[in-house]
Amino acid sequence: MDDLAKLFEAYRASVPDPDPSPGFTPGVWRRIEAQRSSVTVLRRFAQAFAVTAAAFVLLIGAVVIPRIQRASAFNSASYVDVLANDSSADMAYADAPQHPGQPAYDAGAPPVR
Amino acid sequence: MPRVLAVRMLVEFELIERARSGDDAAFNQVIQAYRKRILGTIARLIGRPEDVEDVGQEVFMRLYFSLDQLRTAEVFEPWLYRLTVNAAYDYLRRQRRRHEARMSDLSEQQVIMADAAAGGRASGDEEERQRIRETVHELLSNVSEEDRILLTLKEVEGLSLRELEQVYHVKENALKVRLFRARQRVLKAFGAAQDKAQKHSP
Repeated sequence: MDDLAKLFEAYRASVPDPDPSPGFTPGVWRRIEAQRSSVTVLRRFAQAFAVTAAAFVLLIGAVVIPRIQRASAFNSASYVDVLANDSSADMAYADAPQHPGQPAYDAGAPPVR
Repeated sequence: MPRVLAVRMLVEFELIERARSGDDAAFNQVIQAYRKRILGTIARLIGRPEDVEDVGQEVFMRLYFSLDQLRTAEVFEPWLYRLTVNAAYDYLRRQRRRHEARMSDLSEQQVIMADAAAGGRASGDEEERQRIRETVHELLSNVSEEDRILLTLKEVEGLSLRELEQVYHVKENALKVRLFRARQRVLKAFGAAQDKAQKHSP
């Protein structure tokens, strides 16, 4: 056995198993009760949080999602559809006579110099 | 599997099973049976008698809330040792942080005076035991908290590699390597301390 092993053995002898105080076991139970109550509070909080979260999800499902779907139906029109709708209004404006008495558009008229 | 530890069991497996199924009276009997042994192990792991009961209560509280995770009553003792190791490790880490903070608040002169006052309290045999304890704690301060605990369990508590394997859930070879390295570091510090003592002796 080397010196270090002897030292560890002496250390083992110098620190015997201590006798627990009379308050040791009641102290363990006190800690267990304290932990139990904090776990209970945490569980209640978690339950309340879960209920709130579920209500929030239902609210989103019932109110927000239909609105989003309506908005997305409008926004999902293709660029060509939107352009076609808009250009019909523009064409009506372009075809309108610029001055009273002047024809709106004469394809056969000579170019203006 | 737990052949070695089963010999050391202080209670019947049936009592563990009852405690596991929520019988508080059975759990109380488990505390009564193991508290002295666990307090002894903690005392040697942490080296501060005034905090031993506090860490011990923490161990049994953790045991109470983790008993349902115990696969079988046969692995109860490695489980209990594992909880003890974890609680001691948590304590040592907290202690190191506190110690560092405290020491940074004191001037060097105050530290020297505090050391001298602590050394002056012991006398006779107790003085010798105190010297051994301080030497071992000083040597173990050369390794990490994890290695300190591992080395103490092996060298002081006398746990076999097989038992340590069950406690740590680590392969025996990995434990051997870790123990060897930790022991080498402590041995080096021990050699340096011995050299220093020889130089100072008349």
